[in-house]
This record gives sequence, structure tokens and C-alpha cells, in this order.
Amino acid sequence: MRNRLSFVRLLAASLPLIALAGCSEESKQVVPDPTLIPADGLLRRLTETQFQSSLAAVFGPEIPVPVSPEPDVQLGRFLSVGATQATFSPRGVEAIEKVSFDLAKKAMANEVVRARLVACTPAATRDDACATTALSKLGEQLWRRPVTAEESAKFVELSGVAATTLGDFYAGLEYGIAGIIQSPNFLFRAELGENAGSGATSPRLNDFELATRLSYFFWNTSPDDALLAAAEQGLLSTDEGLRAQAERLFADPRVHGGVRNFFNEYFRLYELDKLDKDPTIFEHARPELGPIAREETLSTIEALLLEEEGDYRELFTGRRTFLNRELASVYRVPAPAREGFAEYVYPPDSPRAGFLGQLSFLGLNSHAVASSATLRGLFIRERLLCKRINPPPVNVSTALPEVNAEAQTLRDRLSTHATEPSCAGCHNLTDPIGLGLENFDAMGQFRTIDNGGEIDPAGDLDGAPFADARGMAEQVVSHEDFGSCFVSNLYRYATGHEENFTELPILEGLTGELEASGYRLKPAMIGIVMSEGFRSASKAQ
Amino acid sequence: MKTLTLSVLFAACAALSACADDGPAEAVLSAGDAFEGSASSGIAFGELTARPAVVVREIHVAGSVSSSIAPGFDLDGRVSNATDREACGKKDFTSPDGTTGIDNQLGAVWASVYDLAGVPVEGLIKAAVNDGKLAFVVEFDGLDDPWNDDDVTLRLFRGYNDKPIMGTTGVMQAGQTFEVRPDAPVVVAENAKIVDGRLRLSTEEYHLDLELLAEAFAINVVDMTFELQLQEDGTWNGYLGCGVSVAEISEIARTYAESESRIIIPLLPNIADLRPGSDNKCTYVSAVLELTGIEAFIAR
Repeated sequence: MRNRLSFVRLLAASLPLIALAGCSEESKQVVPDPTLIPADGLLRRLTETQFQSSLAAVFGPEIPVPVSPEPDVQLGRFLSVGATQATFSPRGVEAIEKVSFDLAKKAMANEVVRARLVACTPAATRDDACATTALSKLGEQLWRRPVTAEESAKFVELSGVAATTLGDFYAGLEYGIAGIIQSPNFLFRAELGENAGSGATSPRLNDFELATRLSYFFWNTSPDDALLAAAEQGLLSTDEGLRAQAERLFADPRVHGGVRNFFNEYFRLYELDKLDKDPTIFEHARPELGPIAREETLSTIEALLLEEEGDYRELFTGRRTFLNRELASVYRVPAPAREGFAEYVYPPDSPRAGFLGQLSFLGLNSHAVASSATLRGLFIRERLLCKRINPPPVNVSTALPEVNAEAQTLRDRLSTHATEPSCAGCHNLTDPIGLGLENFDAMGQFRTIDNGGEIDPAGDLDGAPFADARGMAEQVVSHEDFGSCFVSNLYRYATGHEENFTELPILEGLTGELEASGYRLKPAMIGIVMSEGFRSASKAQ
Repeated sequence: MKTLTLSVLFAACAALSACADDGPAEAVLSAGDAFEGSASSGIAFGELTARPAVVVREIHVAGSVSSSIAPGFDLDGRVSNATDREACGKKDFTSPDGTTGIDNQLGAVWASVYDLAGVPVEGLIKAAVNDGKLAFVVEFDGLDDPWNDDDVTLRLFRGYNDKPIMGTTGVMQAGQTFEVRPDAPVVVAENAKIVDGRLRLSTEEYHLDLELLAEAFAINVVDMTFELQLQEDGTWNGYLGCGVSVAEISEIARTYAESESRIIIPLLPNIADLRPGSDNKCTYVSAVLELTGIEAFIAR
């Protein structure tokens, strides 16, 4: 029986890959009334930003915290999914050690922080009782669960020995603090599912694991005291208690951090730190421009989805954005503010609208010297419509013909890909929609001419015609896979795994809820939290 | 201080101005696809609105090409030769496109001046432009087509931008938003025209308050003509010709560049070619600046 279950799990885990082979649609076959086979329990390494935000939540604004020195890994479109497969390199371990001692030293040197972390007053150079109080509390905050007496004793002993040697209680405590930070209990989020057999239809995460998953989903940082208290009281095991906490977390300003991080990963905005454009071609190409472009997108998202709780589709079709002077200069529109970012609304006849008209998308999915209809189309197909596109075969030249009198525009030059059988299968899925954005160059600047040829942005998306970029964006959000793809990505991000076929009914239900809600983010996130898939994990094999 | 004085001389010529009474002018904004949306719709800038414009980002003195050819304009409406007393005996040039009567006497001596001080002078001007202190702006109101428009209102003034953004080529990047200097005069030209992407403006007099190297100057320029030609890449190139007062520049030289004034003050009357006085001595020197402009916005 054990072997059969393992085989089923293996099959379930493999199904997405099997279905995604080639350029075919992802499988949407729904198994009637399936029994959920939860994804295997996971140890999710804190991502670079989670490492930072989790420590900052404890040490406070007085102590600057770096991002994790161990680089993130992308899997299943997300760093948060890649984190389930990631570990630490020897160099990363050394770096973590250095960071932990550095933080501990700064924390103990700062009177405000020290008073916050060490509520007691040490009676002697070595005061195990006081150290226990401080380290147990810190351990609970950083490990996202209560620390056992046995666990605490190790760090108290370490601190005591160090304090005696160094002749200073707080200097000794630094060792205990550093040890807690270096512990796998901090560096990895345990989502192993320990509640099997508790009456649920499938093994569920324990309350502290659930609190952690919930907190990182909504806030991208560790649970606060209230959430840990709810876990302690067993409230998260009930629908009412879990929903109440989800509602509370969404209402908290920290939800901005969580939503920003989701879209940062979903849209690959973190790559904007290295936005590379040829400065001899683009006079606006500056190192700061990538982060500025990211801020435009994230500000638009926050305003639309959080502050107004608006329709997610408007992120792609809306005329409102947020610009600073530099970005306004790139887009050739009036700066809406003298300093910082401010709201800007494109005129009704502007060719630019939504995220697909922003530099973050247009620049990231281009080459350093020229736009790329293929990269832009690939992003839309894979990330917004969830269609897997295979990379080109290794023995195929992907170089485009040089510009010539007969082939001036990118559309002309890509025509080979549309007719060559070995290319057409995938390029016909990406290029026609990417060419709809050709009015925007690699810097996201509007143009009507490319290499002397007039750009024709018209095309169709799976048979639905569009005249230009705005029309194309309308067709994207009207596509039958748009809503389900968003739900799928949000679910992956939240749960840290690529969904298996037994989870498809869950996603189908969530998609229906998304559509019924008018594509609002809050019900989508809470719906995922309340789903069995979010609350479950099978025991790691 | 020689650098400062020469800079004043050249910058004074950049006092872009126009008079509505001069009749229809030709105007240009930028490449057809450079601005998105309705240019005249007005966009909020705080409680202000913004309009499309052109800002000058490069200024160079236009020297003569040869002893008889130089860029510029016929500022005084005369084709003068060495015997023309109205031009104080200064022979006019012919422009590279064959136009006669070109007044550009500063250009005739520019090569020798450039050897002496041209590089620092142009560096000073460039610094002032890049700092946003010398931001000459042509604002467009009611523009329908930057290539051909038979009715557009132009406003010429000095703009303001305390943090202009430099592009990768070391000059201001296009598309930035400027404000109107509250103390700068604004000249309005209504019913101006754009013909094949070309703009021309003229005015008889304009007053300019100028700051260079933290010094403030008041300059009056005369007989100014300003022409811009839209380019396919969205930039525009052109020339500005004007007459600069011998007396004013001499006074500035005496005040701020005493040692150099011994060279400058005698030079100016010898090249003066405009507006002869009752003593038949010309009181203004013709000069031409070569300009490069980029699209911009003006917040009001």
C-alpha cells in the first residue's frame, strides 16, 4: 500500500510535466471528485527578501539587515517554489554566520534594540535565567514556533560560556542570538504536515506551520505575536479562526510587502536590478532605471489591488500609473510630480496602457539593443496564460536576418520563424502577440517606425483580433485561461509547489470565485488560504 | 573673467523671443510619434497643467565656414558690402544654402576667439544648460501636427528645472518636465505656423536676466531670428541670430573682467554691424548660435 501511494504521488507530481511537454496546453482535465493528494511536506529556504524581512521584523528599523547572501532559485515561475529545492552552499553558510554575528553585535550595542530583545536585567555576567527569557522569546519569533526547553538550553549554555569568557553578559548573548539565526529552524520554513489523522480529509499543516505559510503568503515575513498566539490556541485549525486571521493579515499594512513580493516574483521584476540597455542607442539607459520601473509597476499594483481592491484585469488595461520625473521622461509624458512618484493617467487616446505598456515589462522582455516580440509573447503565454513553451532546439540558430530593404521591421524579420516548421510550432504562439507591442522599443518608448519601416501592431490572440497594444491587452484579459492562470500562479506562490492533478478541482473552484468576485485579490488570497490544498501537506517521505 | 564675459555675450543671443505682431510664424514641436496622447489635453502637475514644448539642450557659437559663407540670418534686411554705411562697412555672408545678407560678424572672428577661450566658454554655457539654469523653452499650445500646423500658439521663455536628468550622451535627456521661471518674461506668438517641420520666429527686442557663475546680468538683444527644423529622430536643430549691445557687453567686461576688457572692448566696435547710431557707428554685434533641442513639457 505504501508503494502504491508513493507511485500515485509520483504520478501526480509528474503530471504537470507530462502535460506541459511541447507547446501544448497545460492539462485541465478534472478528475471527478478526487481525493486530494497533498504535495509532499516541504522545507522552504527563506528567500533573499524573506531572510531580510524576517530578521527586520524582530530587530526593528534600528538595525539594517541585508538580504540573504544565498542567491534565490527560480522553479515553477517562482523563487518561492524554487526555495523548496534550495539549500545552502559552504560559502553561503559562512556568509550567514558572518551576518548573524554582525546583527547580534549591532543589536546588543544598540540600547533601544537591546532593551526590546532583553526584557530582564542580568544579575551577573552569567545569568542563565535572564538569557533563557531573552533567547526563548527571540527563538519563538525567529523560528516561528515555541522553542522547547531543550532547544533553548543549548543556546543559553553557549551564551553563558561566552559571557564568562568575555566577561560581559550581552557579549555572551550575541553568541546565542547568532546561533538562533544560523539554525535551520530559522533559515527553513517547515511545512511538513503533522496533523494527519486529526479528522481532516487529508493531512494538514500544524497550526504554527500554517501560521508561517499564511504570514509569508500575505506579508512575506514571519508571523506576528497575534498570529503565533492564534496558532498556540489552535484557532487556525478552524475555518472561522483561519479566516479571521487571513482577514486580519490582509487588512494590515504589511500586506503591501507580501503582494509586492508576489508580483516581484510573478513578473520577474527582481531582474530589473540588472536591466541592461545599450547606452549608445538609448540615451535614457541608466542603472537606476530598472528599479524605478519596478517601483512604477508595484505602485500601480498596490493602488489598484490593495488600496482600491480593484479588478485585477485593470492592471493590464487601465490608463492609470505612477511615475517619477525620470520615468515620465522615458515615456515622453509630463512628470506628475516634482519629487518622487505620483499618479499619472494616460489620455484616452494614448497607445500605452497597463503593465504591458510599462518599462518593467517592455524592457525586461527585450534585448539590450532591440525589442523582442518572442520574449514578450513568451511572457504573456507562459506567465499570464500558463502555456508552457519549450526552449528552441539546441541545433537551431535563433539569429534573425539582418535588417535589409525587404525586411525592415521585426515582423518582416520574424517571418522565417512563422514559416519554418521547426520554429513555427512555438513561435506562432509567441510572436503574433509580441508583435502587438512593437510600437514600444526595448526602452519602452513609443515609436511608429522601426529601421525605416512602418510598424504594424495588428494581430490576433488565438483567433481574437487586435489592432494594437491596447487591443492586445484587452484580448489577454479576456482569454479563457487568464483567470485560471492567475489563480494557479497565486496558489503556487502560496503553497510552494506546482499543483498536481488532484488539486485542479481546487483551482477550478478558486477560478470561479475569482470571476465571481470581479477579479479581486483579497477574496482570491483568502480563498486559497481556506482551500484544502493550502492547509495540507503530506508527511515528507 | 574673460570666460564669463564672453559667455554673457553668447548667452545673450540665446534670449529666445518673439513678437505676435511679426505675423504668422512657423513652429515645430518634435517627431510625429514623440508625444503620446493629446498634446493639448493638459495633465495635472500638482495643481498645475503641463503642455508639450521644446527645450534647448546644446548651444554652440556658429562660426563662419569661410570668408564668405556662414550660417545665420539676414537680421537687418540688407545685403551689405564693405561700403554699406548702414552696416558699418561689414560685408555680409552667404549661408550654406545660398541665402545672401547673412549677419554673423561674431562668427567671423570666432575661430580666433575659440583658440583663446572658446573651449571654456562653451563649457560654461554647457554647464549652465545642464544645470537647468539656461533652459530656453518654446512651449506649444493647440498643436495638432508637429510637421504641419497652420495655427499654433507659441510661448517663449526661460524654463526651470532644478534637477535636469542627463542622458548617456552627457546632455539633457528628452521628455523632461520644466517649469516657468517666475521672473522671466514670456513672449507669446499666436497664429504661428509649422511648415514641413520648420519654425521661424523674429522679434525686435528682448530683455534677458541671466546668471552665469553666480553673477547676474541684464542683457537686451535686438533683431532676433530663431529657426528650428524638426528631425526624423525627434530632435530639432536650428540657429538663433541676434544683435548684442556693444555698450552692455563692454560694461560687463569692465565690471567683471577688467584685464580682458582691454582686448574685448576695442574688439566689439570693430565687428559691430547693426543699428548704427547718429555718429554712424554700429551699436550692436551680430552673432549666431547653433542649437539642438529636444522635446519636453512645461508645467504650469
